[in-house]
Amino acid sequence: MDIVVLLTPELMYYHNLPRTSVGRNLVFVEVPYSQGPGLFTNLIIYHELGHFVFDKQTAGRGNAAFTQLVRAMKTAFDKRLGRIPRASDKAWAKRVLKNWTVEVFCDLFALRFIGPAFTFALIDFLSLIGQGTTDVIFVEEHPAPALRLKVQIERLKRDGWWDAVGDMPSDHVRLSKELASKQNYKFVVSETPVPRFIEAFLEILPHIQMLVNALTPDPRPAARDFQRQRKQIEKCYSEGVVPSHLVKQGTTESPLQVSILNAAYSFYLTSIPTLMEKMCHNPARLDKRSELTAKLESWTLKALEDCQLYAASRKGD
Amino acid sequence: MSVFSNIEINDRLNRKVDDPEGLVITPLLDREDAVDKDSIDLRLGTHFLLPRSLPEPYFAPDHKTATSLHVRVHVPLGRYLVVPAHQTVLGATLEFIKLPCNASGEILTKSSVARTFIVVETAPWIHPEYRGCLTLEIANVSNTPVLLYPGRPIGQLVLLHVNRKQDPGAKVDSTYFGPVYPEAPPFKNPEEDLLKLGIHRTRVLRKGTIENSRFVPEPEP
Repeated sequence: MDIVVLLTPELMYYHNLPRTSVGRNLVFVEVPYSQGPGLFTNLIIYHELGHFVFDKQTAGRGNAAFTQLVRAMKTAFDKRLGRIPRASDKAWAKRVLKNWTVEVFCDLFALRFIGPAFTFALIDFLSLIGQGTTDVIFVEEHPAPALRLKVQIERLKRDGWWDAVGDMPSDHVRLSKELASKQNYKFVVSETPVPRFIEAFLEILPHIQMLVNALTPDPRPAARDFQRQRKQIEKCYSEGVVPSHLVKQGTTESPLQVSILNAAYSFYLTSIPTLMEKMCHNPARLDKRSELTAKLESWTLKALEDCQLYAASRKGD
Repeated sequence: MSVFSNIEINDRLNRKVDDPEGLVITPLLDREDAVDKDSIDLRLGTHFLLPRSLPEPYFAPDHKTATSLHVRVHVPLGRYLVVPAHQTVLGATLEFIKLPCNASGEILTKSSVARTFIVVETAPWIHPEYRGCLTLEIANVSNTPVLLYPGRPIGQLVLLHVNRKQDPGAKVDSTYFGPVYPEAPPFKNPEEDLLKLGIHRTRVLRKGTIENSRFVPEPEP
């Protein structure tokens, strides 16, 4: 399937007109204006693609893992919430559990494709740094950020990514660890805690993992490539060079695109002040930091395009 | 001042990215063909700045209007850009380049391209330690429109030795630091430049409106 991302307010407008019909495979993702064309926070789009994939599973027959997930959702619901008397409340409860299931599925779906860069983008997107008290609260649409990060870190550990980023001196990593250690989740509706939903959801979680495993490629080769190439890619960034072509002991190679993406995010989180000092900029100057971040994003996009060209030219040989 | 041979070019290309005397050119597709005896073929990139008609009857190279002269266009590989007769567009090389600390570069129009009356012109000199895609002024000097295909060779980079060593403590110049698209020139206002020469009276054209018989200039961006 080809994916095209268009940043067009006009299409959004068209989509919202009554009685317009769009193609079955056309996905609309609304991006906040504040996010604009920034590369890093737009990694969230992978999560939104997860919604499309989940909907496809729901609309079609789904695979065996999907059938198991549906069964697990029913079992957990009957066991924990089956005694809800009113039909409308039951329907609402099912909807809430489904919302949480889909959100965690989409997080893990994105994570399997782009690794820890997704976790960092989610932290930026949700503005979690410095937020504090609401991070253990489940709401009707989303599970608590603390649980989302816990599940993601567990996944990153299993896929071999966390060893490479877990010791990074960054607020994002520190916050991820801190939130992942929290257990006191609460589901709150109209400021009133609602019992048993979270217990039901925790029983569904392993089945979400299984569905993600069944639908996404094994990310461990990408994690290994990242571990091997990260230093070299970051060195390119610190020299102001596009990292599409790495020289090691006289031989050259192109890193995987996902390695470039993650090394770029790591560099963004840890090394922009060093690059600013190298360029005689005061690291406290936000305008200069913003300019350099834009440069970093443009080098990353260029490197991703170059890697496609290297791969295409190898195929053409 | 001698020109780099293919042996020296290849030696510099094989050095690490943080080696001050190293050369980076990426993507260097089909390296054996691209590196000639004394030059490297460079391809046309996919981003362009096209001149546009301004609402004013003039273009003033000052801080405010310098970037208003162009329209940014992306032409993906496999598509073409039409350059009308006698027009110039700004493009960039597909290759990102980092020059060694002891080499300057000169970019020349590839002879096969020049024979179609397309000229890469006017600012061909590249300083030591420059990094970025090179902005190219591409002029169609013929009487007919010409198609440009991103990804095709357009120029040749010739490297020349410069008798200098890297100053380890030197800060990097940020004016054109690592561009990957063609860049519009950053201008100061002419009075600021001329003040450095001791010129205190500079005639300028400024946009504004007359309100109640009084000139109110447009605010600076």
